[in-house]
Amino acid sequence: MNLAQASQQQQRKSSEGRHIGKGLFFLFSVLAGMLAIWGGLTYYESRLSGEIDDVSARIAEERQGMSQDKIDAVADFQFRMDGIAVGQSASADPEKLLSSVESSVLPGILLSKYTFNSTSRKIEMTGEAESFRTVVQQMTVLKKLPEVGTLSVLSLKRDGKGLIEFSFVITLGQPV
Amino acid sequence: MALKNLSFPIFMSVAVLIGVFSIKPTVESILDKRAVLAAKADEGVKVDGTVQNLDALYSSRASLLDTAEGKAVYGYLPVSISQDQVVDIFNYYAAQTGVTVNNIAFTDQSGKTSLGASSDGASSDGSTTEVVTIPETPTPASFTMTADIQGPYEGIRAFLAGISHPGRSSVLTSFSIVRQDTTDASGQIVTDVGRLSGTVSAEFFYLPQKKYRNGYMLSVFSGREFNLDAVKGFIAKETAIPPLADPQTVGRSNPFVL
Repeated sequence: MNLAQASQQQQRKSSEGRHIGKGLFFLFSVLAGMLAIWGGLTYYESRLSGEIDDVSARIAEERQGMSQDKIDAVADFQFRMDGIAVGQSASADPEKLLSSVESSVLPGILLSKYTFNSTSRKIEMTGEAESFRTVVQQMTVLKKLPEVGTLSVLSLKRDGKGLIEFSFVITLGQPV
Repeated sequence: MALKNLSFPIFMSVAVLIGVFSIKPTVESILDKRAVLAAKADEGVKVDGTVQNLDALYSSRASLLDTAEGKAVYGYLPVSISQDQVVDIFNYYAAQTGVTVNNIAFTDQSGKTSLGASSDGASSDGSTTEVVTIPETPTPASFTMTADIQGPYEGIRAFLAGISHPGRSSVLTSFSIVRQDTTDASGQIVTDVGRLSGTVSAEFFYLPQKKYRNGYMLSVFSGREFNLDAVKGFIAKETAIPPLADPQTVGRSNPFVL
């Protein structure tokens, strides 16, 4: 090995040492940065906890000064008023239902039974008609009513007097 | 030299471990606490409103109780079952319309949830991280009254119209009108179109008083007065039923003899 070769080898070793030193410094910096972020976040978290404790303590103090009986009385009164606002449209109007029948019944049709059930929203109509034609006409008129969703025939039969006994079921389509 | 080569992966592993097991949970905890702080701040505003307005609202309620609005509120959803009130309503409209009420049956519907879900709000145990909930509208209890009626068509029609607006929270669940056909001495079927029979069934609601643990969170406490618009509209639509008069004589030595 001559002098030039020895010098080059020493320069290479020196360069490698500097690279390793920079690498370690970078890694330590990253680690220190992460630890700093963690520390900052932990500090912020503890500050938030403190703020929550402060607000909670203020709320607890103010709540102690409030009368629970008065709160209950006011809340109870308000809930009953809310019930009025919500509940008025809950029930079907029998006047409207019967008015629809009155305005649509044909001559030659005699009802024997009318039932309404709000749960199933169904009306059952039973009666007698002069003829099958009258029954069909009555069905056509009923189907044109805006509140009628579907109309189905339960039975049709001729009785001893020659009249047609009919039974319809109407399912309401819109609130009445 | 081997240790120097391993230093990079070791440092990276430590960094990842710090990130996953320390920074990430802390960030999640911060997000939770920010949400709790926002909720607490909102609760604080509501508590301030309640502190400011509670006495005014309580006084307003007390003065309203003697007015038509106050009576309508407690008449619409009574505190107790008040079946006597419903019988009186049926009797009043029967007398007004010429309908005869024959049998009356009651069915207890308590526990059904016809008018919405119920909750009085989550209880507060004083925990600072607990977020209190606003009490939901309580579910009224109810009973169903079914009555057999008789009368002319016009009378039954008016009777049904009356009891469907009884001044009390109710739902007309079903009704029927049936023509009464009878057989005469010669065996002929006779139809009495002037007198029909029927059945009417209605569900009536009542709301027993209860405690509302987080009642101070309700929006009503943000103002100093009640909004009576719905009550006034209700009073305008409902027919007032005269209050039942007290009996003139009360008491007898032998209750089994008239």
